[in-house]
Amino acid sequence: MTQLILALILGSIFSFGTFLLLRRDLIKVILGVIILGQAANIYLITMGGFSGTVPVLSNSDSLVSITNPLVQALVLTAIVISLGTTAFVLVLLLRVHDEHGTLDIDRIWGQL
Amino acid sequence: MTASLSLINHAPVVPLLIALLTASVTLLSRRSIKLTISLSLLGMFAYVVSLLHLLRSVQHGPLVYQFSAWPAPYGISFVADSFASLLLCISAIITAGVLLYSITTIDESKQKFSYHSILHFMLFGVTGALLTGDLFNLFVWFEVTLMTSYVLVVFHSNPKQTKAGMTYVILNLIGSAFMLVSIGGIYATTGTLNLADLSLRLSQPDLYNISVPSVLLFSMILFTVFALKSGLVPLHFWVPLVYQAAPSPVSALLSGVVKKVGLYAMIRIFFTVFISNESTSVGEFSILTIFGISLLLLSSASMIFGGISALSQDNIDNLLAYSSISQMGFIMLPLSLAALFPSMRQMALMATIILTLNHSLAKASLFLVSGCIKNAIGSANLSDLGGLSRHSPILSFSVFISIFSLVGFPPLFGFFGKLHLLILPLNTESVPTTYSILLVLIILVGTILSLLYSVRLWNLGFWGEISPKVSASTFPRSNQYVILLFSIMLISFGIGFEFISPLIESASISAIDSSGYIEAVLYHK
Repeated sequence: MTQLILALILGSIFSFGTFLLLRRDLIKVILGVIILGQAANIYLITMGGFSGTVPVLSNSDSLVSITNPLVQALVLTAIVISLGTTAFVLVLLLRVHDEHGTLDIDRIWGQL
Repeated sequence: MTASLSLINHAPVVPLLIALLTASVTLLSRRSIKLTISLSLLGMFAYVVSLLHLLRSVQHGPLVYQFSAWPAPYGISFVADSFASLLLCISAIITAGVLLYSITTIDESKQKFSYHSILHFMLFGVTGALLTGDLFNLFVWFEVTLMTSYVLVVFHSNPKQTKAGMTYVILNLIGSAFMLVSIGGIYATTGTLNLADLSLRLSQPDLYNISVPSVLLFSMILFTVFALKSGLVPLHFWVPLVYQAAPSPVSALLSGVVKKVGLYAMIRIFFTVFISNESTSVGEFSILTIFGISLLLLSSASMIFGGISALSQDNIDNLLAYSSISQMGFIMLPLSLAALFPSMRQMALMATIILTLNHSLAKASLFLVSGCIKNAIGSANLSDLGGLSRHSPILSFSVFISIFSLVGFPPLFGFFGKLHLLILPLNTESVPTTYSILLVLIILVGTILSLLYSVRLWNLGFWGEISPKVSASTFPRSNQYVILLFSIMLISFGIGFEFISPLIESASISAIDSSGYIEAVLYHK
């Protein structure tokens, strides 16, 4: 059941990101890209499976009962990377706005 | 622990550490531009030397470095084989040339703005991407390389660059999201991210309970991401936009080094990992067959489309960018044949490697020439040029050598690439006759197109009457010698092909030696 709900949620996040990506407003496009990236992160977390407890080792737990900690490490790395790229892309967005006075893609890229 | 650590050969991580160290010290020494430049040159020199040493020591088999001495599938491995080392060496040589060129052409005030540091961070990323033996690690190194290339593309920060940079960043962010999805899927279906372990598990999918159709799906997503990064049709549209807007030394780096990272990843993932799945198939086809058919279509389309588009360009940078798309087709076509016909796999890989090296050297040199022209004349439009061959013979000689090496004239280096490429479809034992005729036709049309746009570039820009803009300009000598160096390499690699062909041959063997890779990573020591 958890899996079905998560699959539906993930699907809708991905489609929402794609929807934003196809808009004319540059800031929406960038939001779409960010949402796509985050959707990929959530998806990556679900790839580790849902059984088991938090992956903190103590003497009482047996090894089999913890969830896969590797995907969580991967997602942490991916989040750090997306922080950097998001900061860069937002600065670039500001720059585009300064230089063209608009964030309408048709008006900026139309005069290419 | 100390005893086992001292036994490990540290050669594979030395270039990586040199690049990281140089990037850091050039960042710290920003106050004095002279110090930055000398540190940057010193670091570059050390990097090239360490790579030449690595290339020499991997000729007898791959070197594996396990970080913190964690054994292979659990820790992160670095694998240096002769294929990765050869590509890294050529990237290092090109970056060194571009660095020398940048020192004399880019304003000191702008160089001060961490240009050297970013350049070395890019090398750091490229080194990591080519040496890593782990799928997720590959993603991280891709991001390191891309992050630096974003900054370099918008380096002069004018409106044109901001627009091109925006397109480049957004496209690559979408690509990264897809790459993550594919990596997550591959991890969920196979249970490993280590390339050698992945290859081993895919060779016995039933034993490890792997569903091959899902792996096929995720491998195709990866393929799309790599095609985007290497600019194949129909994912090519960012190439002319970015190459035209970026500073010329950066365009040289993007086409000569960064694009090749996507190509390398494609070869590594498909010919080291997914190759092991050849015997088990989905329906009628194996993963490699489907990869081969898709790549055959994309590369032929790139070849023809890039060639035709390059014919009608007036701006030199645009012409070079479309030519780059077309040449990427030439580089990828033998790969697709290698995937489809196992009997000529090694020959095809040899063609790919020669064409890659040739394209990197020639295109880097051409982009630097375009930078020289832009600095001297203020425009890179063919309509403003003319008679450059009499005005600046050294520059024109380099252009002449580069374009005709791209087309494939003997005795230049590119000739051997075209030779190896053309004999592939003629191998009638494995290729059916109708296909072989069609393939030869596509290659010939692509070559004729590249001959046409090269001749057009030469006739309009370098022959004929000296145009008023050209006669009013002066070309500084110092940059031209760097470009001349690339041309001399193209000539000497062509004439002395006998001497470098063993290197290329061992690179092509190690690129497809899946079992050797597994052996080296998982069972060595």
